[in-house]
Amino acid sequence: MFSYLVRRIAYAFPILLGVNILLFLLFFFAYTPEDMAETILGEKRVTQEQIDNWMREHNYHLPRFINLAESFPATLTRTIFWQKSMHLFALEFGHSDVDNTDIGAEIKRRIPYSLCVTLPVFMASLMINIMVAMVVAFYRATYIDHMALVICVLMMSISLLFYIIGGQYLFAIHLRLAPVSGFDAQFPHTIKFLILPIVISLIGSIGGGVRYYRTIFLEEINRDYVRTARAKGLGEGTVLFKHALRNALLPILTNVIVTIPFLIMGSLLLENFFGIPGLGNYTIDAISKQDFAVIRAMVFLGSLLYIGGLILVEISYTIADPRIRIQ
Amino acid sequence: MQLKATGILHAALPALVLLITASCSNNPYRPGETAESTYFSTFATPPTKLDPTSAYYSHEGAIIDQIYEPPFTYHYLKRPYELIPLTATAIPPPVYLDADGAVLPETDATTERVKRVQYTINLRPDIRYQEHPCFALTPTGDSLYADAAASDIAPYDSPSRFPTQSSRPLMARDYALQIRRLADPRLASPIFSTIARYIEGMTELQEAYTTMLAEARDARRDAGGLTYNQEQDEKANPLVIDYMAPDFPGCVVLDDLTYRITLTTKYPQILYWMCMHFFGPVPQEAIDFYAIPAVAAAQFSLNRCPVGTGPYFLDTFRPNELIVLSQNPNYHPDFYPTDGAPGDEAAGLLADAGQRLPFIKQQVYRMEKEAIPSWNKFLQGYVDASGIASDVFDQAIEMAAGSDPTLSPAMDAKGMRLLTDIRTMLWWTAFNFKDDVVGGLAPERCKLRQAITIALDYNEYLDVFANGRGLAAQGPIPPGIYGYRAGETGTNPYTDTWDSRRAKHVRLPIEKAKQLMVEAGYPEGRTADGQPLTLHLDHAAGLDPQFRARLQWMQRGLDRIGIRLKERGTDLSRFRSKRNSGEWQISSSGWLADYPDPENFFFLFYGPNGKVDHGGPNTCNYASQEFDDLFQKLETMVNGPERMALIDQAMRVIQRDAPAVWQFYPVSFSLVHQWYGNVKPHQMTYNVMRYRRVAPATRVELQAAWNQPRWKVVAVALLVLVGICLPGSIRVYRRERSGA
Repeated sequence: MFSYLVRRIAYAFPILLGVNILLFLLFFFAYTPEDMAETILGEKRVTQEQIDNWMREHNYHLPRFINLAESFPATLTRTIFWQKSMHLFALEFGHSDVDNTDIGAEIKRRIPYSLCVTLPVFMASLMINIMVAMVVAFYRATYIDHMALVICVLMMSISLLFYIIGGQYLFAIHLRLAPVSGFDAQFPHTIKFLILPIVISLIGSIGGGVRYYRTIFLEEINRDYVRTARAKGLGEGTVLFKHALRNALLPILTNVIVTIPFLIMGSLLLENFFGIPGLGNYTIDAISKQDFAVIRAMVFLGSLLYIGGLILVEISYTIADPRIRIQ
Repeated sequence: MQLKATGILHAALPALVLLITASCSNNPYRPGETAESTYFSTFATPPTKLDPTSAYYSHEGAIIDQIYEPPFTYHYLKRPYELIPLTATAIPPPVYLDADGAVLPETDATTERVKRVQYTINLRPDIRYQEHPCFALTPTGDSLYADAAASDIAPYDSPSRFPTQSSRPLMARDYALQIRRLADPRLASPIFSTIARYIEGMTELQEAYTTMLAEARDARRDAGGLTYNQEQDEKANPLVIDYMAPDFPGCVVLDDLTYRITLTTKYPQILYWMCMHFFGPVPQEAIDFYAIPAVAAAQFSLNRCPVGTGPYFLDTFRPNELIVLSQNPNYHPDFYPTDGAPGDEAAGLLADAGQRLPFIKQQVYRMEKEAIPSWNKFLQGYVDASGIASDVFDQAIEMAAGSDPTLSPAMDAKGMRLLTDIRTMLWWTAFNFKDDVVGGLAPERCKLRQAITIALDYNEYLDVFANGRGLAAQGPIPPGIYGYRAGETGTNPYTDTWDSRRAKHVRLPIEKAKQLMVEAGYPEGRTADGQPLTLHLDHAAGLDPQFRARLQWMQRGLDRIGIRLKERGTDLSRFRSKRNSGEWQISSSGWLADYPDPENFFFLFYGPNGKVDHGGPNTCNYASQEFDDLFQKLETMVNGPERMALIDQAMRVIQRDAPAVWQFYPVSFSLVHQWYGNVKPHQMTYNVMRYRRVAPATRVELQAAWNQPRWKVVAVALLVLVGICLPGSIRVYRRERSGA
């Protein structure tokens, strides 16, 4: 297991390097450091000299990949790519191009805000989706099952944006039960700001989740061991919740574990509309301000978490199914 | 064990439900928060620069203009805008010196004879800084926090929470220091290039700082070796240079309360610049404090934590969440004006005349990126004032033909007030004078541009796209700026006429435009070879649907005189490159006044400021000797009949040459609740919150009345839900029972 993990982590390096190079190329082809300087300094009264100064202050005056003016190894290290991207591998995220703040500190500060929403949504949606899916599976091929499917498809077809705006109108403006938006980091004042985004996010996730889990349970329900359990005289609830659920764990884990690391990344739409200052909000801000330093850090973090998620899935298989061994 | 867990669950679940139910209110504030003398607002864009050297955007000015006090400011109520002293004792008169250093009388002070201009500023002696840890010093004069470790700083999220703070009186040297900081190349002050042309020795000062920085960095690079990363190194260990070391004749400290600024030429607009935060005071102690490695590591810097003498200090700065400004207990005596513009008294704006300022104790700004939630909070009474987005304009305002806009009945019923003000801002459609078709000063080119102007009716544009929120422009000077002429006298005779019945400027008939097209050599919009004249609108608007609609409006307008307008969209990078090299034909631009002087708009069309040839702000590359001569004369003149005559002449020249289609001057519409008083829009400074007041008792009462939760609806919905779920649950229960 240990050697497998080491190998997987080693494989992650070239992937992350590739992601970094790709992002660097994409960004700099579309948006030169000079454009960045002009955007950040503002177009009013900015001179070429100021643009040059800004680039010098932020190391953007260096060559991009190879610095022929320097001798090795400075040929590689005195370049924009090295100075800006290689520190990420040591989890040093650097500073924002726009406001000079420490990106690492900002990420650390915002993770709990994102988790305030994503964690309850993740847990509650998992529970609700599985339970509803089981009930629907219980009524398979009846009018309840058909109706549930239609409702699920309808709910899946509606954009999260609609749920957000509709939810804000219904709960905050019409029923006056929750603030339209905002955030207060101090408990228990946080709660009233979380209710609405959590409820909306749950509603938005139910359609797809129930359909997915229903399919998994239907597959399990037709297996021989289920028939045996029923033949033993076990109740349908016991059959579903004890036997079918345990055996359906592998596909559930595949779906669930890979998303766990992403919980800290927050939700772009929810955080934006509800004014929650989490990482989703941070990413959207960076994109709108074209803050390459933050975008680079967030993409790197996203890649890292994705790789981490995949490794976690594989480990979780061994726990859920003793027949599986990692070598 | 299982019993215990179940017990906990049984106790926790009702508690959680109770907590959530108790939290059910749409009030976004903590209990009792709105009962205080606090102003509540929102912001959509987080401020990124609060250093007075580099902050330039309005959302940044809205914060730091209340903290940093420049020597002068504008009268809150009087219009046209009038300068008044703020920390200075008086507005200083200029002293003109000739080449020998002899003082010239005002009458002999021609631009040719004047070689130096001096302004001597005397400061009030009763001004102190806010309490701040940077002023907490040891008996030897070092910062109390000089040796602080990161762990000592970690518990505090703002310098205003540090346990030991102090203050000191404002000194002239603080202003001198800040003027020098404008030359620091690291801070990239947006006004450096402008003021360096006038303040003596400013360019040399920047060169000296550049050399000092280069030497310090070379030493650090040698010490750091291969791993040296300039940016990372200076973030961890800020590079401090001695700002006061180089000689700088442009700003000299005469004594503790007096400093003198020396210009190389007449430039009365310097007084307007000195009303801005760029010329506010910065104490050396703050620079030293923020250079302490532990303080820098905690993200505290002048860019995020200003230190000032103003009516408010920055209490909380979480730029993506919350900004709180609290009343500065050390604020100097300051009083509400006793006189104002005509109509101010009737509007109740002089009710607080002579009262000590500020009235509001705290200002709370919460991040609200989307316009709709922000608007809804205003309707609920949780935000004291709001702009009006286009989407909700009809909900808030009623526009009857031929009369002023009024509040809709729903807004009126809530006791809101509507405030409108023409912004000192101009939008225009620029023609590139480097272009062979639309550029140049040949009469036929001028006529082509005039014809295009007539074909694009901005009265119609404002009705279609801006709910009438604007005034069709006649030239580059907006209302509120000296030199603007209202009514018939302000008409652009080449493209417009005065409609006395509607009391507004209207475009000349389209036949006039067609005739101009004939005179320009494009009869019916055809070129000499019979092809339709095709022009190109260059832009970087991407797929913005609003831009598409505006483009179609322009295409329809020009189609009336036979011109085909095609778009030439590129990304921002390419667009800037085209603009810098002059490879474009027509594009849109805008300018918001820095100060209320016509020079601040005319300079955008001054030949030596041409974008292509000189890298200046004149994006049209308009170069007219006649206009430039007039500009040079009026630029440094004091306002008066002689200057007004020159402005009129310059205006006629630029209207005739038509380097741009003058689009419109936007009108700002804002709504305020009945409990928010003393509000008069001000276009020149953001340091106006000190004049305003709130009535918290009225606010609390109305918020409660407007926001009672509708529990009955929730109860009915729950009953319906139970009704739907019950049959299914019964069926499951029965099936389970029968199975067992």
